[in-house]
Amino acid sequence: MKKLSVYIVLFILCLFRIFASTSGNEYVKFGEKEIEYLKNCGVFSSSSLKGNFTQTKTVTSSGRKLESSGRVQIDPQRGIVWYTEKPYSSILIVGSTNLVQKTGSGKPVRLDMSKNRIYTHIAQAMESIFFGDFSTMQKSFNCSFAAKNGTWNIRLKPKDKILSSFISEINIEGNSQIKSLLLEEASDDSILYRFENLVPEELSSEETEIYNM
Amino acid sequence: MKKQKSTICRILPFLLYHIAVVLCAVVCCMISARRVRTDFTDIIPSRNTNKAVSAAEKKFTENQNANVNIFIGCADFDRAETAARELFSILDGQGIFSELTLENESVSADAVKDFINSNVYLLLDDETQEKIKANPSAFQEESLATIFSAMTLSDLGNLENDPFLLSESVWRSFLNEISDATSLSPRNNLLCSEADGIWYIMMSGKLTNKNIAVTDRNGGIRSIYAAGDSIAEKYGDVSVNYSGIPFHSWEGANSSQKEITLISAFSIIAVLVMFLIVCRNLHILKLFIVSLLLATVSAAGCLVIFFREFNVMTLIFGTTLIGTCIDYAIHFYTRYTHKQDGENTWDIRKKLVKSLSVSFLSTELCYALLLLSEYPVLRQIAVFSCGGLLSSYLTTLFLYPNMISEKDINRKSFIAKQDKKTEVPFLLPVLAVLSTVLLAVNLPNVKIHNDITSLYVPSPRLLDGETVAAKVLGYSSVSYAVIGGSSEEDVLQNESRFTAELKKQQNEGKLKCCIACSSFIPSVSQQEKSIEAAKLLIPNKEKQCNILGIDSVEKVTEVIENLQPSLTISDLPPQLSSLVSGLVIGEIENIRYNAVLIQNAENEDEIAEIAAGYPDVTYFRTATDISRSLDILTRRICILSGIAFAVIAVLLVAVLGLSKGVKMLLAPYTIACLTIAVTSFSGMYIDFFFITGMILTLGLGLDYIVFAYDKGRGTSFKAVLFSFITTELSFGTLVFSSFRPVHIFGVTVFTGIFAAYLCALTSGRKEEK
Repeated sequence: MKKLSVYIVLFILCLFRIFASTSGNEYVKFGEKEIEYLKNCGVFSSSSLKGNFTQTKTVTSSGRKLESSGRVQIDPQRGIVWYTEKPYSSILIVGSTNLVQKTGSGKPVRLDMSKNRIYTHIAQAMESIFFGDFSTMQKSFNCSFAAKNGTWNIRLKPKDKILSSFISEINIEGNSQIKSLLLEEASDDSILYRFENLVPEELSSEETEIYNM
Repeated sequence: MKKQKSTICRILPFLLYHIAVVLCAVVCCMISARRVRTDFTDIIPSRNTNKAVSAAEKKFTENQNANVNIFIGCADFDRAETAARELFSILDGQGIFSELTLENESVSADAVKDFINSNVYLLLDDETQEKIKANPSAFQEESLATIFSAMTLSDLGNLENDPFLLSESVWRSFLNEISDATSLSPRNNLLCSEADGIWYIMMSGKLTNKNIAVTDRNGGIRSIYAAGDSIAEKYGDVSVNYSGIPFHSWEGANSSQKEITLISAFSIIAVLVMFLIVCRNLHILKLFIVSLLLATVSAAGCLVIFFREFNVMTLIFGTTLIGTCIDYAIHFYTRYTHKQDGENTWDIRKKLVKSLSVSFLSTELCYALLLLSEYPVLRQIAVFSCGGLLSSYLTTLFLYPNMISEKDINRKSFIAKQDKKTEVPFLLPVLAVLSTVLLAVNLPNVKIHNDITSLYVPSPRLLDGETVAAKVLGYSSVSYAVIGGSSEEDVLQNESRFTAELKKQQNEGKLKCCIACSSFIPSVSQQEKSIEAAKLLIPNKEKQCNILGIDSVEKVTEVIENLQPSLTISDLPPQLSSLVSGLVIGEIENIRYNAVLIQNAENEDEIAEIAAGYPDVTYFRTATDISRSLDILTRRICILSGIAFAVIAVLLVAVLGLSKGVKMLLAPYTIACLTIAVTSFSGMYIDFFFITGMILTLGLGLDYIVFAYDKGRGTSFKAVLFSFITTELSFGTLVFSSFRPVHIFGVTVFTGIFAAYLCALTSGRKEEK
């Protein structure tokens, strides 16, 4: 009887292992091969990107989920602009050295972050994710990669102790386009951005002008 | 017995003075220890008439002056980190520092996050308060937009207590302050910055009191350099850069000690060799050595009697005593070598006493003028030199007549031979006219101007270190203001009013930033206003909580309404308190003081104007303040020199008669004109150290004229020549000093004394029948 129960436990464990290996991905260290793979997918371009996003902020302590959606534009030189449209409109510009936020009819609030290394590293890493700048990415993060059925995942773990006290992990998922970006904070809270139609497209003059806000 | 008694009576003034000086000096040293200071700040006068403010500034700068920063640089961060950690392990535990920090656990944001989350309703800045007051509903809408925006700086986990996400504006304000204050960012718990492709890791320390007193040549700074050099050598591509006043003071002290030794040794050896050549008699040495020793002991004695601590620069200037104190001995000895039959030493003294006294009084008067200066170092030099000269004067008048005898003279020596007649009575008036013309031509170039920054040139190593520090820290100049108040609350209120004005300047790009305690800890009245503003949001709480799905609506009301404005500086988390801890000066004479640091102010005059509008704010801009006060002082000294000239004129006319007195006045006039003309012609400004040198030139130069005019049995010109040579030897060596003030002083006196000698040569002389 005792022997039987041991077999049952082992069987359950094996089932769990099989389930784990099929539901998750096996991550490997990011290298030349993986870069080549991503290039072949045609995910990254050097021109600006435009698309829609849906964002879910998860606050672990209260179990609260805050959802919003809008448009996003990404310029390799100028940074990322998040136009949140629902449920409340706001514009957030994440430049490589500054952060600008505009809510409602209020004045834009500008923060010079050029001397804040943690900010500049996160901002640079985010930009590098969208444009496939892997060397910048690898400067601040330990990168690992997994691919299955045409879907790939890049996992970034901060090298720096201080950076890791803010962000524990960044996960990017995509196929021929970037599909989602999950930012897991050290406090266990997270932000998941899901992208739709994030494709290379020229910015209009109005969209370019927004960076000067 | 009677003869012995009479000898003691004759030298009584000499004995009394020297015994009194030595006894008093010993007693003073026993009462409290004397200290030689080597920091340059010590030579600066207090720039404030308010004693308490001066004391507050002194306390603040003394605290700052103990701080050093060491930057370990390498293109590869990991190597820089390894080297920095190794250097830290060498230096830590050596007892050099009272605090030494490399790794900073407090750089984690958790403590700041907790501080903001717990006190958000007390920390709202003016702009946020105004926004809420203007339209609470619009503010609520904006807060929702922020909460749902793509990214927030603040913690959404605290929405139960802070549903309007007021912490977002507090974070922005704090981040702005921190980013402005320093270019350093944490990496692997180390504070670092990247500049020109090089990673610099900062190690900061506060020296122990023993190591701030850098007179110990084997002290802490030497150990720091040794450790840094060994790391740089071991790693090859790693540089160790040093920044902080203690390094400058130590290098200054070291080079000054070398200079004192060199200047003293050179002057003494040169003077002694010269006398051996011209006197050809070893006995002469005893006279000069006695005079020199007694003068040095008396000068040092006077210094320790009147000053508890004195600057090492006093001792460098003091080396000039070697040249000046033996002038009287030269005159006495030269006169004695030419004595008439039947004349004894007391007869010689009787004939010399008038010219010696005039020359002594005129020199003392010029030194005494320095006592009126606000600069402690000049007062110290004045006391040192006056004490030494008085000793020399008394030694010559009272001791020499008992010491000197026929065996001290070599009749074949140069000094014993008669002067040739060199009387050129019209040359001095001609020189005076020429000097006047020369000065008149150069008058447009004559300008009183002091620039303290040009007076000190750091060593290449320190210059490199300070350049790296400016790059890494993000600022190159810092001025500061001292803010007073009756209580901590009062100080914070005064401080926030002043910094509000400075922020306007900052927004206009006129300064980089200002760092103040009130930027992180608002005054109680400001905290009360913050609570009042937050209360205006209570009517909107229900709507807000419903949208965000917060059940405990009443908790928010409870939190806001029960708040007490109780935050003080001690409540700041370590990361923020480390930024402002040095700014709390403390209580002096029942007034509390804080300091505000102002980085890279474009126009310090504008800041000074703003500060002048606040009675409790005193603005200090060290270099400009000193330069301007030196300008004022230079002008004042010019006026005092005029007064001294008038006093000397009266003295000369009274002692020598009108005709001779006026003739003699032509000499100092010519010296002054010639020296000023030559200086301005060479592009130099009339600065404080120049004018100080001029005063001494007049005092010392006048001696030559006095002796040249004296009825000296064909001996005066030789005595003047040797006085001139000895003085030039001692002041001439100052020309080679690495301390620019000492150098300027040396050049001025050297040139002036040369002009004085020219005047003495051209002065009329009547031979004694």
